[in-house]
Amino acid sequence: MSGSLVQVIAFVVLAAIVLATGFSALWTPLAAGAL
Amino acid sequence: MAAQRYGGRYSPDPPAAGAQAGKAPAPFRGRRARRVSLRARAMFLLPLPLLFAGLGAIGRGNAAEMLGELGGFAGLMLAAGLLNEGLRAEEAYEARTVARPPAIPRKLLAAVLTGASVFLVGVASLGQGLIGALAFGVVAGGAQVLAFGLDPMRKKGMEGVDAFATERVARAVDQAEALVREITGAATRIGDRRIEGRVDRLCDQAREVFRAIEQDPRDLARARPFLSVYLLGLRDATVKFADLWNRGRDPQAREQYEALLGDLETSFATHRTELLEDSRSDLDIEIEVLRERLQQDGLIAR
Repeated sequence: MSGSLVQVIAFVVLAAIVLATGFSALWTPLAAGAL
Repeated sequence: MAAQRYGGRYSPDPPAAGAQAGKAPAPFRGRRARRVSLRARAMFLLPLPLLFAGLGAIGRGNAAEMLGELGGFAGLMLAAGLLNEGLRAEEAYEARTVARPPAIPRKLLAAVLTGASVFLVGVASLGQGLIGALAFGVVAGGAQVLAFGLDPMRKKGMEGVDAFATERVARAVDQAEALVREITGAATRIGDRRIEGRVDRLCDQAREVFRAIEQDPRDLARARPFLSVYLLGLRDATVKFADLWNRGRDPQAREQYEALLGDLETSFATHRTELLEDSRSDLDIEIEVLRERLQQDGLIAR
């Protein structure tokens, strides 16, 4: 049970890093262009 | 009172004429449902924003960002593919009693690749600096290892008795499993549900023998010639028939192939039990007869 909780948390961390990397790469130039 | 099977003129599976029709085992006996990890599949979706970011970088004419973003996207997709492959290999490893670890540690490679991709994007596109990007990469790789685990690294079921014998068993079963995969692949090409089902059942019976051999490696010496003649014959015949059947639907070839399937079914059903007991001479004769039969049909090389 605690093992699977650790897995879920680790997956959330991983997903957050990959998504944040992608979205900031997508968003930063857009925001810079808008401002 | 036995239930009567409903079937009309246009039903897909006309009842088979042979004696095998009545005693066919349940089609999914001995098979385990494949586990599908949604989280591992999601790893294919998560890098998508990077693809669009890379396209945007192309639009702005920024080569460094484009390389970082598209490279990171490719790395993450490759990592997701490796991860899914690794999970499949792990499942196959768990299903067997005697198994060697997968040759390539795919899940570990996938985690390293994920970390490297995140690092690359951080450095090339987000301007995070080496240390910051490295931190994100290491945490991403580590999180992937925690979330999906590492590959099985140890040999299984090979402790104790005779390492050499069990190693041989694992190798023989590996080869036989590869043959079975080729057979089912060729059977799918035929595109006939009934034949496919019969071939599947034969393969299931072969797998039962694999499991029996894994339980007791001493059976290998007896089972090996039968398995190789039987499986090689079935593979060659199936591949050849699939080619013939797809080129022009030759009813004579189909008749011959079905007759061969029938022969294999009966001979395997009768000898499967003997195969695992001490009745060597009967088995040798049977193998000889089967080999001649296959040669006569021109299905294996003389």
